[in-house]
Amino acid sequence: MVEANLQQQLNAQLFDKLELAYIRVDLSMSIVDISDNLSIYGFDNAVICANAEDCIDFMLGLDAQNPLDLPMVESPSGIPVSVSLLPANNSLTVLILNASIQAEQRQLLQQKANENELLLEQQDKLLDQLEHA
Amino acid sequence: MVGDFSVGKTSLTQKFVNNAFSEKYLTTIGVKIDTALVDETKLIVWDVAGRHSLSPINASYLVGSSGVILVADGTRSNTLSGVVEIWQTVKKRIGSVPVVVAVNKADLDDWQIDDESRAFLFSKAGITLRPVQKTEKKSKKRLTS
Repeated sequence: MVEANLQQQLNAQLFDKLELAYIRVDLSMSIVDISDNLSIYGFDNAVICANAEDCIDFMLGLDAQNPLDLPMVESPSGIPVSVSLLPANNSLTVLILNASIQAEQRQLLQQKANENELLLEQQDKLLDQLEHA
Repeated sequence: MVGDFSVGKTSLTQKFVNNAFSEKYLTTIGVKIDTALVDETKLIVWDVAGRHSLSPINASYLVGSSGVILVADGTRSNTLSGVVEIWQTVKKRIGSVPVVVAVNKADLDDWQIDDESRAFLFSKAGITLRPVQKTEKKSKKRLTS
């Protein structure tokens, strides 16, 4: 009974709150299992038996036997996701996690950093021009 | 699509995929993936966040690439050095895949690409720059490879 409750809590936390989705493919990249919430991220063509490389753009060219982390990939629905490819037991599990908050924070910081650096570059260029005038 | 920040990778991608252009600068975070059909071949373009001193290129994004477009900004000569360094990162992670260098922003007044920059790129990365014919009279972008 406790175990069932715990499982329910875990499911609620992982799949509902954190919006963790998954796709499992075999070594030929054929989809064998998907989570019910995959549509949140717009992977609508990812259905069981479909080839993952045909319906999920970021899967094309990837090796089903090597682990890989792809942070902040823009999903088809526009939500930034962190993708982890985890090979095990002749299959590859692709974990997809909502990374909106991290992406938003990073966006603010990076935008400012880039704009500041562009201003500095511009200032250096102008000073250089003045020196040579 | 890889290169230093603010060289115009997203603009080039959007121009190519959606024939759209925006003057607004919005830095890319992580990677944006777009698709385009070229002569019945599905081309998947990974528009990777620009390299910045605080955030280097994440080499995981390069895995599985069939080729790389290195983008530089012709008005910022330091981004050509960036191209050389990023090309080393690419080769280290995925080997010598086909590569094209796109030197962007040729329409701007302070374009700085000259024989010296061409020689620099060739000596450091073995890449030859050559002009590509413009398709429009007032092209917003010019690609060189």
